[in-house]
Amino acid sequence: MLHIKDLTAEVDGKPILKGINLTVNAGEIHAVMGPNGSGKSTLASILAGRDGYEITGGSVMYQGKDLLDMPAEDRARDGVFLAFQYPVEIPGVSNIYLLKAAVNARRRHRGMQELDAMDFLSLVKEKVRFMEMDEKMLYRAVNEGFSGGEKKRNEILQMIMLEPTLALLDETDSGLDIDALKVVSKGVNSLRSPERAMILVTHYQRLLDYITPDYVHVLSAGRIIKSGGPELALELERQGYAWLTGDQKDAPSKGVAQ
Amino acid sequence: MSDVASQFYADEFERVESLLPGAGNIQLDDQRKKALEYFLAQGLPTTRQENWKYTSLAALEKKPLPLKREQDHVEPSLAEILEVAVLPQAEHRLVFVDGRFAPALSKHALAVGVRAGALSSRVADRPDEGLPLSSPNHCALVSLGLALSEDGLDLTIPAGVSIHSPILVMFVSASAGHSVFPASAIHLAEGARVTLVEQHIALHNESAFAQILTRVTLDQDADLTHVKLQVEGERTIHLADTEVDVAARAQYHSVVLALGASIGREDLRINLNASGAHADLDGAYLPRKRMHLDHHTTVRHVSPNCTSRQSYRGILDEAGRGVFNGRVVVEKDAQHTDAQQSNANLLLSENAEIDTKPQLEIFADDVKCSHGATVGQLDPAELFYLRSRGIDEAAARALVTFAFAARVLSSLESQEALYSSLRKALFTHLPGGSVLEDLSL
Ligand SMILES: Nc1ncnc2c1ncn2[C@@H]1O[C@H](COP(=O)(O)OP(=O)(O)O)[C@@H](O)[C@H]1O
Ligand SMILES: [Mg+2]
Repeated sequence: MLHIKDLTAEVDGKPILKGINLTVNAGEIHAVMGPNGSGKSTLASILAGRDGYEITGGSVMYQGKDLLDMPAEDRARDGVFLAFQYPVEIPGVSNIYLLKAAVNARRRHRGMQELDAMDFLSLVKEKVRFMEMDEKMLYRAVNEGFSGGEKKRNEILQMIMLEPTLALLDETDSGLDIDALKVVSKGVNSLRSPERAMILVTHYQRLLDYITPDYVHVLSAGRIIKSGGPELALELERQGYAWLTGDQKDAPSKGVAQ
Repeated sequence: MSDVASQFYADEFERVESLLPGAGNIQLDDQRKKALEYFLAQGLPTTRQENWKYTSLAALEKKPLPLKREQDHVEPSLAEILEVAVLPQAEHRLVFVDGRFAPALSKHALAVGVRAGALSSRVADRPDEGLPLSSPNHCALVSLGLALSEDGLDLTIPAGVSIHSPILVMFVSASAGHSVFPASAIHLAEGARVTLVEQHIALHNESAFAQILTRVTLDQDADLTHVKLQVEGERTIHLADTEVDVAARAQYHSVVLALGASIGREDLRINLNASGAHADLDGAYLPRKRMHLDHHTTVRHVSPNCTSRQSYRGILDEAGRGVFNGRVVVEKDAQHTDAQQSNANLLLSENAEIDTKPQLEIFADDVKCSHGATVGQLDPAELFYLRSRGIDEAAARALVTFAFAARVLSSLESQEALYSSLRKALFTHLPGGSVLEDLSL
């Protein structure tokens, strides 16, 4: 489904990604782990189509198409979804408006009929209940004044409404208490299917207790330096990143081992 | 004083003087003559005057427009009016065509004792009272309006009367190439309450000039929500002078949407005259093409314990130009004043321009005053977030822009029909707004 080949990218002339190779097939869940600043968010943002990165080499194919050639909105309509590490507040635009516009943009693109107001409302209410959120948040401005946990739940709500083909979750677990983590994981697991793939970007093993990945990759200084199965995440939890990156600051800390 | 415009309006005055309401009454004739003389002595404002530094009336100076002659009158049909009305379903509708009341297009079912109609009738019936519009604040344009006004809104709500559905007042320019001078007097007696929606609109896209004079008196505990929607297109010069006197615990709430004029200027002066008076001013201006939209506000805190809040938002596109000058005066006795002001601007084009200036004059010592002005562009992070949800770039821009502007309407949310009509008016005039879907959710 996704083939990333020798991808290199820079920001303001500074190389960030230094040759990423990654293949993700339908039905798979890949975890991308690594120390802060290693380029995880950059990779996720480039896949979702954020401007401001210069792609200096390599290619990304998604369902046989050149992903890097598509504007962000076309990627979304084609089933790519990014759950943001830092969801953006959009004052004045209500959650429900955004959800409806997004769902219908995707449906139109797939040649499906737009949902009418009633069908949409009953669908969104069902999903809101599933995510254990308050219906009132639908009428609030997108992410405005939301707590960190509410923002992350809201990302997952959007995701399960949009039913993406390729979901990129950027540190969706960070800043969540244990109950919120369970709800978010429930949301993510509900989308697991043979037609879908997911890339979970995470700093900690914690999320992987609830969502078992098929593969784990370690990204360090813009390169994938190790890949393995779920056991690699446990290894990282015990040892930190230092044994891989050779960097003292990546040694395990209390923060990692909670 | 040389200019073409002064001579032109002096001649116009001579032509229409005897046709004005109540003409022949010595006092009234005298009041008008004096006003004209004041105008002739001053001439039109020029950019050499501090208050008009950014707004040039040279176009008006060069090419003044006549008042309409009776034989040129074409009455629009009711269907035409309803088609352009911001609240076509309004229970109370008062329509002025080219500056004169049009009873056939108007209707209302207001409570006994409410007076809602033509100021010309009141002046003709009781000319001895003079024009109920005099202002101590001498200004050449106001004087010109006083001299030449043929009509305007006469609205008086008696004490304790609350009107639940909004009164729509439409000022319609039906025939192009004319000057109109509507002058309105609005009085809410003690505890009265109403929402007034004033819509200025043109049925043509030719040149026109409107000099609008409005005087509002709110007795104690009165509550007026005064919405003004200005959408006359790109070739109208629209100059409005509004003065509001607010008594104890009374509330004046203004929402101004300036959506289209070649030159639009709103002078809004609020006097908070007694303890507990409150003013809430919200405004949005959307100059695009070569429009020039200027807002000058003055909130004068005369008495202690008054509060005021101003929030103006500009969306400037193409070669649009905006001016915001927000003046707050806190007089010596006005202790415990709480005055806030903010002006936020979104510049959508390199050729657009905004001049914004707060002006605080504080003579009391125990006061809370704040002000702030910002000028920015659309936030790329917001745009990317929306695009990453499948919303195309044009719609994302329109949506973020709309959301920015629509905040000035948030205080009207509880008046559902009005709120959604105004949101619609706003997004249809927004750069790219036509790509937005139904915003009723
Ligand atoms: N927009 C940007 N401008 C400048 N530097 C950036 C930008 N985005 C990312 N970087 C830099 O790229 C590196 C990788 O960042 P990021 O992808 O956010 O890492 P991670 O998500 O793994 O913590 C960091 O050194 C960061 O400072
Ligand atoms: Mg990151």
